Amino acid sequence: MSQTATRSRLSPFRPGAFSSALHHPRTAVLIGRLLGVGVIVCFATGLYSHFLQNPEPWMVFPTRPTWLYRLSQGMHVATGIALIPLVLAKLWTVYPRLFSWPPVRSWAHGLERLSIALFVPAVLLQLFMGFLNTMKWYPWPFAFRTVHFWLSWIIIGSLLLHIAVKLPLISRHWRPNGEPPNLPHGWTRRGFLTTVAAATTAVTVTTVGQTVTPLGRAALLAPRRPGVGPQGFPVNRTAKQANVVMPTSWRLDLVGPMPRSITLAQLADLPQHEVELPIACVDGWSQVGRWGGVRIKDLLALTDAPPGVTVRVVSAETTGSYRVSHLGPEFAYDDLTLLALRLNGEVLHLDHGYPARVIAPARPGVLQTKWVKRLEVLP
Amino acid sequence: MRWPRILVGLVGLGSIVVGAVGMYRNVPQLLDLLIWLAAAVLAHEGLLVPAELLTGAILWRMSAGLPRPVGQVITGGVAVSAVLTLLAVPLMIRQPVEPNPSALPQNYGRNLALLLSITAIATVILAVIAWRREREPAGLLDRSPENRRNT
Repeated sequence: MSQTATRSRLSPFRPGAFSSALHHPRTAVLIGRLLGVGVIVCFATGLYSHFLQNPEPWMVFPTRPTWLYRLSQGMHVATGIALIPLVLAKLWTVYPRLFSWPPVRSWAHGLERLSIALFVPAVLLQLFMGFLNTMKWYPWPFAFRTVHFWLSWIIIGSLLLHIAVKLPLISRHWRPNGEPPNLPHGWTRRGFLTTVAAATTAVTVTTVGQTVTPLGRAALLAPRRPGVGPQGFPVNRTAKQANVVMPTSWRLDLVGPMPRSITLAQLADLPQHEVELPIACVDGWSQVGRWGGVRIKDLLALTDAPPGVTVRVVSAETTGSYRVSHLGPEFAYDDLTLLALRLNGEVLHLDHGYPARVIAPARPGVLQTKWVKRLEVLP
Repeated sequence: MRWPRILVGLVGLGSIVVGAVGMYRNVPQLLDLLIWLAAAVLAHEGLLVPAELLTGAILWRMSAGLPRPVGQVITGGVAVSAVLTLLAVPLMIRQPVEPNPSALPQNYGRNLALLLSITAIATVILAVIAWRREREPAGLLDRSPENRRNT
């Protein structure tokens, strides 16, 4: 200890450099438990969203409840935002350990520091990228979805490794267990945890209204507000952004065993249905609309499509990764899956996909393809 | 507990490998990614946490003469304000250049001012309550550190 004793009074490596009793395993465990749950929720809901957009051939997705994706992605984004103050608090609590000396004492300590060296950068960048993505801001030179997806594996992995290394310490402090008394000044543990809870509540209440519609008025820091947009509905990508203009003549091409090309008037003559379904965006906002139009399965019948086919939906958009989407049989034959022509009783606004868009239950908004011009029956 | 612990650790290492290999295969801009990861850590450990520690030290020193619960409420109010500001800043930067009128439709600067005002008012109210509670007769009779410890 003679070496450390000579360190400057301001050196963070000096024993006792951090006075607060809150830099203690009990505080770290209390916050860490919540953090662990949050990371698992984000990971699970993230995987669900990922596979809906990039399904493996054998995958079949549930279509009920119709708000399943709305709930899942709403939780993904809300939990991610709630994790911001929790991660900051947890890293504040354990900050003195950044300066533990010597840097590596043993195998276990080396593994622990490895897990942290991976977890901290990954989780900080993940939350930052995720939050910026909710406002469609991409200042980095790499693909958001790819990096967000693979980072999540590193995060969950380093978290499990961290838990494994720290398990004896975690179980020792799972319940109150001889913590040092609060110092006579500064934070008490309860005061600190109350503040963390208040900050987490504050960021949640001011953002979650973008998907929990009754709290919409409180969503002062949300990138979206329910009810704001053409026809009282937010738009993910406008017609202008997608380079789509008002069509002068439009026909829907049905590509199947018996190819068809039908006009808007013919489409309006087919049996019309009204469904209440949410648009649930990957960015974490959602809103329920009353959609009117023709069932996709009725259109499939027009082309004599055999049962159980997958449908490829092609938009009039010329670029962009969401120009084409696929409706697996579970979605294509669902009574609630429509080629929608109306929203809340009005003809679709161009920004909502005029003349026709797909609306299906329990699907990400980016797959509810707008400006549809062709439906292809895939063998 | 030895084997479950080793198992969890191995699953963790496996996920790390999956993530690292996936990243290596699918992200052509690996160097950029490493720079962003390093920047995230440096910004947090080198700027944000020192700022938190410094602000905390200053606040606690300033409130040294006040009853401890009052100091906690004040420090807590500042912490909540800081987190709300952290969320609002990117929204304020991005809002003017957003081309989609239904995205970022709010005046986030004004909203932040409103939220900070609400936080400040709540902080003052809670501080006054904490202050008055400290001055109740029971507190005056026994001012030993043990009795004043607020846990």
